[in-house]
Amino acid sequence: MEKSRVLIVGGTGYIGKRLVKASLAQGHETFVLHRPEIGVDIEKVQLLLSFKEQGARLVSGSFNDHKSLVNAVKLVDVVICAISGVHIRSHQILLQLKLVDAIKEAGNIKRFLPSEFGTDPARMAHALEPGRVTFDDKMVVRKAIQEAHIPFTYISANCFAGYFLGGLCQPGFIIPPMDSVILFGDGNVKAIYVDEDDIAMYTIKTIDDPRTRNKTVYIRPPENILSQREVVQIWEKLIGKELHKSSISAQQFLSSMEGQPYEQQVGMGHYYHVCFEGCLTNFEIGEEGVEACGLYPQIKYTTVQDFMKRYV
Amino acid sequence: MGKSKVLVVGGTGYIGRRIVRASLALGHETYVVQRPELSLQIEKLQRLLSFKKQGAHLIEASFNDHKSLVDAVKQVDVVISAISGVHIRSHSITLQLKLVEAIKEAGNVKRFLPSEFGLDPARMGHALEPGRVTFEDKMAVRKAIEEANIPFTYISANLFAGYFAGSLSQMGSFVPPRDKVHLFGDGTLKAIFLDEDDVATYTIKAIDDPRTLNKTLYLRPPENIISQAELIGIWEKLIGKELEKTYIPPEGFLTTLKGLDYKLQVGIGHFYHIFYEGCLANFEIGEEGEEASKLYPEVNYTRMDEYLKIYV
Repeated sequence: MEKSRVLIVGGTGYIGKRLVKASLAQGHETFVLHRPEIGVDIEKVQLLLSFKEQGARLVSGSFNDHKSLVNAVKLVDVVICAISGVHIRSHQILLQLKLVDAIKEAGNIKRFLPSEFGTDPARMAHALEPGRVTFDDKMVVRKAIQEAHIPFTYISANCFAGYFLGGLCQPGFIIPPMDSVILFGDGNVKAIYVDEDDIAMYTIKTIDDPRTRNKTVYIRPPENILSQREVVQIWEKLIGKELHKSSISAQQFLSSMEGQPYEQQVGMGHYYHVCFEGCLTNFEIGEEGVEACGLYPQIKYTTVQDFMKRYV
Repeated sequence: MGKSKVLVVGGTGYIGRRIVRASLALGHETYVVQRPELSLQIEKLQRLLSFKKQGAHLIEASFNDHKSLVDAVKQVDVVISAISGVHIRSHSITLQLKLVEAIKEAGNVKRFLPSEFGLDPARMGHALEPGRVTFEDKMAVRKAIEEANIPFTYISANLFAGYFAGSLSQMGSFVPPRDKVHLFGDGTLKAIFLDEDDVATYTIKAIDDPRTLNKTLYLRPPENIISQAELIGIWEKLIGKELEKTYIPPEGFLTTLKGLDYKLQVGIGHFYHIFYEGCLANFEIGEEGEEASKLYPEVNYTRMDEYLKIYV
């Protein structure tokens, strides 16, 4: 089939740069939005130039300039937005409403993938404050997309391996400890860990696929559906040493949230739902969803064990 | 000759990561300091892990832990420090004094390259305040090295192309303008621009070369000794368009210093010496110096017309 032309907004971000790489690798004509504000950040400028060297095209555009956004989206078939992170800074998520307006006006877009890539916000209406703001904002964006009748795919990517596995699921850690670990509860609640490069690969696979049109794609690699305890055991086996384990109860965890800065509370709320409530795995995928590994079995995703080897 | 064991401190930084890559590419056994303080910075961690994947060894050490620094330097022949940038944040330059103490105690290091990679501080005793602080701090480090009789090479790398050529030397941006440009004075004073990858390659070439022992190595590739006006001419030719030019006299430039914050004043002072005094090219190299492109003619350095092509 003819490859789609793809515009990536937020292409210099943590997941965004992987999306650019995956889009180029899968042969798409790839455009990266280059905001004028980026011109003062040398790391971002150089990253954009390296994309250009790999064949991407840079398009100038700003969220403060509606016409530039319309002009940018008119160049492509698919728009993928990767602004903001999985967790905090959620005020940025609503910037996408300007992108939705531009897509609506341009009228040519065959698929829009908003910035999701985490827990499915449609299932998080009950989430703790203030972390719920992330999900509330994402739902505001979804509503705008659907009211504008823009064809969409929502990517529910679950836990980013670099953040969760690196720390053995402990908040504030990105390197695995060699001595001791704190388990959430009994550590037996299942979560789902996905290498960020695989998230990008699955995402780019979905953009032209009629099976994912107006659907939520859940990324649930079967071998990576593991509890915290199982992750710790993989690490212990890799380093040939048993860690000292202590446990924190749900009540202890929640009370430790009090008095923390806003961003910390947002992140800890998210951790609570993942690690104590099992919100990534405690439901069956329904009519509105499809599962990425079932759709794209040819992708050899990185297992948790292989991912952890880099830290040894 | 046998390859050296090289320790890079500041290996995730702007020039540091290029030095790590050059060291690996030229076949050295390469060690990169991993500071425990970076445990919360996922981008730096992932950069370190990618070095590891390419064959580098990660050594945990901290400036706050003298013994860890001694242990780190004992494992290598050469230590290269790439902390802080070319310009500001100069308070971190004097952190190297702790590294000097560790090298002195360890006693095994055959060559130390401190963090220089810019203007030669020995020639900047007259520099304007507050920009002079950068050079004074670097001279304090040099004095400590020489008093400790540590064998050294100082790399006077002149202007990083990503900062100065990519922007046509405009302050406040890292991408070239397409409409108008400011020239400093008449724009005819010569400066010297280097692709950062060439800086790293020359640096690694120098580390075990007896000709650079206890010398300052100046990076002056002849075809990159050009004025700002010539640089702009290269860009105009590449984009097929003449830019509208505004000329800023030295008095006008210096009056902008007043009222600016400290960091900007430091940067403006450096700009003044480069573009109004021509301090990079207005002297002959003496006994204490060598020139890199003469010592290593096999390095095919990037000319600025080639460098600027990616920005078109």
